[in-house]
Amino acid sequence: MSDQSHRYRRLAVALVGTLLLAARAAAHGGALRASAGSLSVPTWLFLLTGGGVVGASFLLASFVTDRAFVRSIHDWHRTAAVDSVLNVGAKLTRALSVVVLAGIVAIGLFGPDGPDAAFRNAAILVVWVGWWAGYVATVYLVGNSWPAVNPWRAIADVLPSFGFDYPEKLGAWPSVVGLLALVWVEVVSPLADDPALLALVILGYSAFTLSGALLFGTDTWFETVDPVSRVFSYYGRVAPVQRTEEGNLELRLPGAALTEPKLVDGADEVAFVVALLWVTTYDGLVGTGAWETFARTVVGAGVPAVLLYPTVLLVGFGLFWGAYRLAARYSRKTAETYLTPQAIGRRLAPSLLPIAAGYHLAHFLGYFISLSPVLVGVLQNPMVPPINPVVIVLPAWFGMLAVTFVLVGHLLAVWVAHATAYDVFPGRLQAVRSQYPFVVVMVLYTMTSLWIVSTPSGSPPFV
Amino acid sequence: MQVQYDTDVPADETPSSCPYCQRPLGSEELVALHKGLDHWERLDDEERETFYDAYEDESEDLRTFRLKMLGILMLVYFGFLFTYSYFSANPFM
Ligand SMILES: [Zn+2]
Repeated sequence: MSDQSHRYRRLAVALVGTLLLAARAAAHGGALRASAGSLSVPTWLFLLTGGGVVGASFLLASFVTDRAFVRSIHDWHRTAAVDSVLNVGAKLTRALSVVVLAGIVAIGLFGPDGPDAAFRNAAILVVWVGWWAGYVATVYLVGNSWPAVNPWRAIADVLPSFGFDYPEKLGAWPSVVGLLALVWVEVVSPLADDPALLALVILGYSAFTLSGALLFGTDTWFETVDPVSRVFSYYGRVAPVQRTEEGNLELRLPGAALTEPKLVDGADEVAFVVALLWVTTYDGLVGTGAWETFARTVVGAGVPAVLLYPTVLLVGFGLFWGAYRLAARYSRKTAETYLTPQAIGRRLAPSLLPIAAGYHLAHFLGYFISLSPVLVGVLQNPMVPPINPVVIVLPAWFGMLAVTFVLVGHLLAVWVAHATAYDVFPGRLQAVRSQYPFVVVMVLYTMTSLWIVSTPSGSPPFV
Repeated sequence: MQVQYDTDVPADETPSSCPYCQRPLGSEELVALHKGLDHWERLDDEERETFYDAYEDESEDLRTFRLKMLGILMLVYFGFLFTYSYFSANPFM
């Protein structure tokens, strides 16, 4: 993010904060000191406002106490029988995806390189702009098409399988470790600037994931171990289009599929959802100016730079996970229920997913839109890309969208948690009370994310 | 679909539990509500009547609860309104 876009974002952030709760303050909009890039209100008040919006939405949700109404919203669906069409389409996209993967690796290794590779190398642009910013957004906004697109799965399906038994007691833990490891590699290495390195990492991941699928079978591997597929399958549950067990497509309201009982099954899967939430935060956190200052201070005090990033990654994950488990434990008390904290935690974990999705959108939509013409231009001639690529300059109000996405994600989360609690607890008051500790955690989390999207950016040092 | 939940009852408590799925619940009202919500087809007329009564009683409690929530909402709203007008109209800021 450039400083310019950040200034816009802060201005917009200030505007939203002002408009949200106090019409009177908006009349004094002239007080915005845009040139200094500061908020019209103190940062603590802006953050408190975000937290207040989430808290107030919980209070509002608690007014919806009609069970039949809540259920009708979550049961609403339209089904389309598209099995055969979908299967032909899937075969085509799978063949295509393998070609694309090969192309990315080839261009990464032999394509344009140099200091401006981030704007000229198709491998980098396809992976970061096309795939991680654009495609991921379609997964939680539309539906999870990854099983049909996943090139590694397409390759693994034609390879023989040794059919070793996957050790059941490992569960989803390898995918938790894998997700943290992938984000660590992404943050500490110049994967977004160095196409050859990106290609090598993709090759390494391919070798690893293909041998895993070869050993344990495609389904076990991609449904249990592979962190990328797991991220997509959870993100996909936020989306309105779902795949039914019969293979048909089902249209539901966004987030409605998150209230299903067996979506998160076991402490390992809860840990994965919390890890997903944490890594999106971590990714944003290391890009802030505050982190830059913090990292320089800590390393200046004698802490080895190599240890800094993984330590904070693990400590932060521990904090997020601990906070969630604590909330589940308190929920058992506030709801006066005999359910174990683990059972409560498993059932409510999916409500965290809209938060992660909203934050991803807030973080990447601007990036995707400004760089998409570059992506298109480079794709037209990957070996000889245009010298001066066109970048879309985002309008001033765009930063307002980022804040809105963060808030909308949280509001959806509050609603999903409300509906889930109604499903779990026979008492309606009991269901509302079970949410108290989770709302506290969500409010704190909103304030953290808003702080990250509104604070000045920096560049992560020592990487 | 019937979901089985893991439960954990402290040694010194003997809660009421559902006769159909043995889920322990904090009170007879909760048992009545749970039976009506999760085992409706298996209930006789009398049990269904108990469910309706429990649901009505609960709606009564909910009305009081909602009033309290409304009070808190107003507090939050005006709290923010005043804080905002103080901090954004202050010329020395
Ligand atoms: Zn029962």
